[in-house]
Amino acid sequence: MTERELRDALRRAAPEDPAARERAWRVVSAACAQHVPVRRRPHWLPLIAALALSAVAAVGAAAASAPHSGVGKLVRSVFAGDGGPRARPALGRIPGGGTLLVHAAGAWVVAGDGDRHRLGAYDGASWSPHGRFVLAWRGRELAALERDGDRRWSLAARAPIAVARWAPVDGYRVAYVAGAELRVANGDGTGDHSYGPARAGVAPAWRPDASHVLAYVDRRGAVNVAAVDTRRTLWRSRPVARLVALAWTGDGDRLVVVTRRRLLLLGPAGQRLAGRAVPAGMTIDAALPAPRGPGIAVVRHDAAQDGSELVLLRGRRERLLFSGPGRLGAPAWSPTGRLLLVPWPDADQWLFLRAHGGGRTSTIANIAAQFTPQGARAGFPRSVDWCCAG
Amino acid sequence: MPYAPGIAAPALDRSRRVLSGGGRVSEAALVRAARRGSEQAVAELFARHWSAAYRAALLMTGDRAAAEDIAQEAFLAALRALPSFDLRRPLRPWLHRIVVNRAIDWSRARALRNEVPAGTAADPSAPAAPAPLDDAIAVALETLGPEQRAVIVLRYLLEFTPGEIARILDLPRGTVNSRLRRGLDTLGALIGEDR
Repeated sequence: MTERELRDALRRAAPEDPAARERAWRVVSAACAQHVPVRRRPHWLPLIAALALSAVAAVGAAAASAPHSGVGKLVRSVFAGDGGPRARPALGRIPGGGTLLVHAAGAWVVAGDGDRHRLGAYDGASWSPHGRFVLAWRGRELAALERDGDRRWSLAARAPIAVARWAPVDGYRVAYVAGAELRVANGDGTGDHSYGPARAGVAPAWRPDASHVLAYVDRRGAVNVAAVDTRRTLWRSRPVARLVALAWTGDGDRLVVVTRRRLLLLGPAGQRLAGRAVPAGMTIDAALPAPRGPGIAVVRHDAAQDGSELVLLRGRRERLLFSGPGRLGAPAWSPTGRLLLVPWPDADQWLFLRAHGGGRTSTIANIAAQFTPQGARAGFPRSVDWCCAG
Repeated sequence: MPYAPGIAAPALDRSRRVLSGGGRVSEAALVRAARRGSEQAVAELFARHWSAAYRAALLMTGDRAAAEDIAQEAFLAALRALPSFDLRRPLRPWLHRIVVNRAIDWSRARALRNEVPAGTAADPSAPAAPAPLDDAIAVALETLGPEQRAVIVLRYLLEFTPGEIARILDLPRGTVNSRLRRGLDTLGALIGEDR
């Protein structure tokens, strides 16, 4: 078959559908009619909310003949509280205060007044206890930095570092995954040693106390909880498929195991306390327990509709905090647990939502451009960590 | 760019489609006008790109309802992104990137649901009924993976160059060329068997 024959055959195999065109135009036209003309600083949220609201009017006609219409989910751009304020065009004061650690073309610290400082071209970074220092990694190098980027110490690993975490409360230990190995060092960078085989794709999680108990995933995909100082494994699960994350509840009593399709709540001995599956057709992108109280923020995505939701789970109850088209990034809790920072790459925004509803939603636009070093291509931040004030 | 003359959405008034007194308006001008709220500009963009988007999605998915959803969502995504769209870039590759990526996602999700294309013989050993060439193409495309289907559709339906395809799909050019070669070989072998 010649290329020309193939070209002609493809065109014959995919004829136009006038009815589909008409239906689609009705939806697009209705969305366009609600379009807010762009002034010098475009405001995403009213546009997206307006598009969603206008699509409600068209969804009845569309749904009858296009049963898999994605418009239905697109419609559900829901904001807790006042229905979506105008977005601030740039980062200023951080709602709720505190300090942010942002990973975007390097590691950045954002002070409470919005002042941004790039620490360097690191592949990733995480906070020390109380946000005094930053643990940053680049290739095989692990470094502890002051907030202004000055180096306190560094060590060279044997393999590229995927993730690193500083033990909470006293900061006397750091754990990191290099290659397929979990390693532990002292908080001053000394005493670096291998702990055991580990899987790089899931970050280890220290229990939020001074016990130096660490949850991590071994190479078989089993969740291990170990007291690293005594090298004692407290418990180990069977291999878990499609693991996304491990996270402890704020009181350290339970471990939340996050997979693509469900959340598992495990007790101090690894016993299963509760499980929660996501609705059919959805997958979990991220989940994070609140720093205080029983809530768990969960981001889940519907691939067929290409829409995402942020829900707050408390026991059996579930409350929708936000939904919108495209994907949402992993949320970050404010230090007080009152606010959630929700990255929205498709809209190039950060949303600050009240976890318990009510009040205004703060929105900051043009996020990618604000974390782009000179001469680099703009890219939306890959992660955000929210720490204590000061 | 494939366009089906004579097939226009009834909502479009051709007499209003020329925005500036004659001649074909540039795409950048249309995007600017659309940003300012011009429905005529949006209508013109829709008229220029809908057919190709729908047909590409149809060949990618083999499913008319999915193709309609995907093409429609691509236009809605384009509307959302208009305020920040870089006017130095052409709209067409950007729009088709959305279409192709969503079609790939849809195909993968369908595979996970273990759906089979309509018309699959209940007995796998039974020979497939002979089909006209154009249906044979659609069936042959189904045998390709979604990523391979994407490069075939982008190259031979939408007539993007391999370099443009590489940018649309974020792939190395060599990968695009090898997928094109293997896709053509597979299609040629399957279609050749039916002749």
